Amino acid sequence: MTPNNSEPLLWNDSYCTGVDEIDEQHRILVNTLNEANVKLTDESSLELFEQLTRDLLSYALYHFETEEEIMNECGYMEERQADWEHHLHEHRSFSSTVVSIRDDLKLGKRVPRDTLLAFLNNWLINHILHTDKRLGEFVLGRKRS
Amino acid sequence: MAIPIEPVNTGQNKDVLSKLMFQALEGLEFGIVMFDAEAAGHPVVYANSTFQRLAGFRVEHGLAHFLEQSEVDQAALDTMRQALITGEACLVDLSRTWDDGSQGWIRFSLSPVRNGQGTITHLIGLVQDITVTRQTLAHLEQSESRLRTILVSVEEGVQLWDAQGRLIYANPASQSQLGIPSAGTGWDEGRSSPSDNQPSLDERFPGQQVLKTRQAEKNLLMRLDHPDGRLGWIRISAHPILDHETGLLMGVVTSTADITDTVNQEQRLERLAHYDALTQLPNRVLLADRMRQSLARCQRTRETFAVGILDLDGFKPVNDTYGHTAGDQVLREVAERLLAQVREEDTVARMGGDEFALLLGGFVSAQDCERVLLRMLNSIAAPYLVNGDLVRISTSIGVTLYPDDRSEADTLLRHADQAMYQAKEEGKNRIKFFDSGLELRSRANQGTLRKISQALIKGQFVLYYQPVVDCRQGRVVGAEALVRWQHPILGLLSPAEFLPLIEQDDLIIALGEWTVSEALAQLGQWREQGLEIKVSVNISARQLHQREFASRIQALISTADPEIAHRLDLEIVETAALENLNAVSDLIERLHEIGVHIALDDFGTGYSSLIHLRRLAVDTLKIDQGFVRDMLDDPLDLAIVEGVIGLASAFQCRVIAEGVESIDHILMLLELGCDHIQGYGIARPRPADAFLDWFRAFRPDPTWKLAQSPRPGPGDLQLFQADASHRHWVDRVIACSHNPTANEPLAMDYRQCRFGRWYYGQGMARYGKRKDYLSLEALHQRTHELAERLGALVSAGQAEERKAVEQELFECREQLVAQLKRMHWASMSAVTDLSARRAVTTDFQQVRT
Repeated sequence: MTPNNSEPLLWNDSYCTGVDEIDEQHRILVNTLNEANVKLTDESSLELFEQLTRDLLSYALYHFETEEEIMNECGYMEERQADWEHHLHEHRSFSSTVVSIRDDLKLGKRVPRDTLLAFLNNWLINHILHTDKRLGEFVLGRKRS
Repeated sequence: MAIPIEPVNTGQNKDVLSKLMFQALEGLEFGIVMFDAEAAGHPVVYANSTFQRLAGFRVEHGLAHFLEQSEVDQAALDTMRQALITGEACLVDLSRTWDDGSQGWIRFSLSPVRNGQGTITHLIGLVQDITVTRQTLAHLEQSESRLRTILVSVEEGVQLWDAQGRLIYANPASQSQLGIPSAGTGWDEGRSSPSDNQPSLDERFPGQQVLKTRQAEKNLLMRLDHPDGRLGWIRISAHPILDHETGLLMGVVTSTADITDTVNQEQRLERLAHYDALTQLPNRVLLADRMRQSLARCQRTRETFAVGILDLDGFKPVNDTYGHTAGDQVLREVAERLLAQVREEDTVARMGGDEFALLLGGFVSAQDCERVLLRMLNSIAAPYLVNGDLVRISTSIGVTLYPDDRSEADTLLRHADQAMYQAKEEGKNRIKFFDSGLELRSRANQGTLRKISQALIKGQFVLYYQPVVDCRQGRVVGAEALVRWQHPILGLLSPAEFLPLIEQDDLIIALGEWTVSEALAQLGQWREQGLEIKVSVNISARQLHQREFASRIQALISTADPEIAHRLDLEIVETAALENLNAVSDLIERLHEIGVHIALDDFGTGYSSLIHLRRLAVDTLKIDQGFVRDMLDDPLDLAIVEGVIGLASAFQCRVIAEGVESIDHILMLLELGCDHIQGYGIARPRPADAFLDWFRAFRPDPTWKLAQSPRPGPGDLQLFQADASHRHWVDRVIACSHNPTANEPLAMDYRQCRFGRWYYGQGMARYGKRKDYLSLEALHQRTHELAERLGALVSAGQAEERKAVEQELFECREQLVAQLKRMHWASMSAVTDLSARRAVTTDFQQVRT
């Protein structure tokens, strides 16, 4: 998965955490990334960058809420404190990265396309495939017992 | 035929035997007669009583008389007469009218009797009453004839097949229906026994099935391709024929009816119901059906298919100019052109008017699909010949792709329609793909909007206050109210995280108004607590451009004490103000009338000209924090900051620098003449209570006093800037060494860094003759050498040595900075008290290290 690769990222089972609500929302991010891959160039309008980052903020808001609510419900903090802290840290850092990209946009400083896409790809790989999956496993384990 | 005339010799007396025989003959049901063949007229020699009763003629008369007198059955009598001549036996049936008046039939057989020389001496006749047999036969013949009449005349074909599936009988109608010749006359006629060259049952013919299952098949529809190319449809039923007694299968009877007309009629009706009469393309109904099929198939096979809506551009003028007949002709041609571009299994349907629908499959990627659509676009765009004129139209196509767009059939059409309208809006004659991701996200965004609206109702928003400090005077002059979302799960969210999501919705107006009334309430509370400062609140672009904005603000303010309302400032983003300059300019005037002050926020991000600024008549300019933050690194940002300060001074409005992070920023701003400062470098935003605590504990930073000396001249400002830029360059070198990927590359050449450019340029021109100035060069070069070494060590991964070099770099920097400071003081006014100067120096160094 390189940012220059314009092939769409196809959703597959390896992205699934097993928690339907989370997976459904992850698809939206994959979708956003795919769209950015196709549409975004360094010459793209500020509006497009604006729209993309706004979508990311929206994603952060409802998706992190979903995940953190699930964490609260199943006692993730109490049982897996280190994982919980790490997970929350990643969420906050995602939001603040997006906010700082937007701040730059306001000053007319456009983040390079590849940097933005690399950030999203990275997020997909590191966060969804690792951090979220750990949460998914914990939640599923909880449901079984 | 020779009849044995010699009786069997039983040894009995001939007379007794003869008597016995005559008695037996009398009792027979057969009539027996014997004629003398040699006597004239062949008189009767003997006749039993049965004969006399049946034959119906007098025994006194001979055979000749019988043959001559009879008026009926001449053909039969001829046969008998002929037999008499030839001396052969014969058998004839004769009709009789008996003495009692009843009528009937007899069978008369006559055989010659020869003597030892072979001469015919007698004729013996046997007569049998065959009336009943004849009647039965007649009935049978009558019945069969009736049946045959029926079979010949019915329109249904009837065929009879034997147990081997060979044709035994076929009525005439079968020929026209099935193309098989009528054959046989009936089931049990031995002479029509089937032969191998007669048609036998086709495997597909339902009769064949019946032979296997012995179960009747009824009302099956069979398609017939006639040799002449006609297409026919027959309805067919097949019944097994079982032997009544044995139950064995004897064959099959099939009946066929030609229902070609009915089927054709049905098809015509179906066409009317499912096809557009003008273009012969499928209509909406059939399209819906095909879409259901495609959906079902593609769910299974995971194929992709496209649903498109195609609307002609500029068709109406054709209709208006050339009339409907010509318009219809164009539509037909459009249909043909479209069909020419698709595969047979694709669907082009007419939705009505000049709108068509497409159902396309067989491609792998969206690009493939687009190619097909592009061909359509081009073929539609080719000219049409209408009433001798060349006419051009084009088409706008909207498409959505399944399963990217995993919707129901109706929704797919609606999505394609939406995309088509977009294509129209974007200038027609183009293809627009429906953005399923956009739809998905817009739904998600709607959800976010609802959440934020709920949060407002539930009171989850709070105001944080960030102090604005006049650093020259060392006092707090105000605070900016900043909205925070106390999210129950995600914690405290900054406005940058959620405002962008509602800035295009009226929700941001509701939130803005809440902010104003909340800030007013806070001002009131603080006043009671002895805190009297100005508070500014942010007004969004949407709120600002709301028609009734000024009156709503007035309404909000009217609820508060005028003294308090006077201390409320509204911050308007520069870019929003420029959107409608005239309206905003009028608005500012109105707000001034009610005592509300206006600040232009994020100043520098728009493109305000001096004229704009004059028109707007604002009270305060707030320099965008981005420029302030980067001004120590980026000379262009510094230029903007300087420029804004200059503008504010020229238009006599207050200027506030936002985003101040460090003491260097503060000192630089003070040097530039901007006294009102806001940012983390002074205080973070905090809740109202905490703000009050902070305010009470506030003491100005003694370092700020550095700038309380009389304003330095431009030359000294240069020294100050050189100091700041050099320190920042080193800070960044060190930061880079800790996190090599974080920052953009630095200018490593000592002539290219900001300090270097100043030193060999402006600085040299002004101070080049001074010894202390020239001594800076070596220190500067040494700093760069150390930076290079540090970089090399980082690449090599030598952590221990790195620390030492870092320390050395730091010290070297401090030497250069100290040298600059000395030059700075040297050029300061001689009036400044030396001890005060020393005190400041001490403070400064304490802060530095």
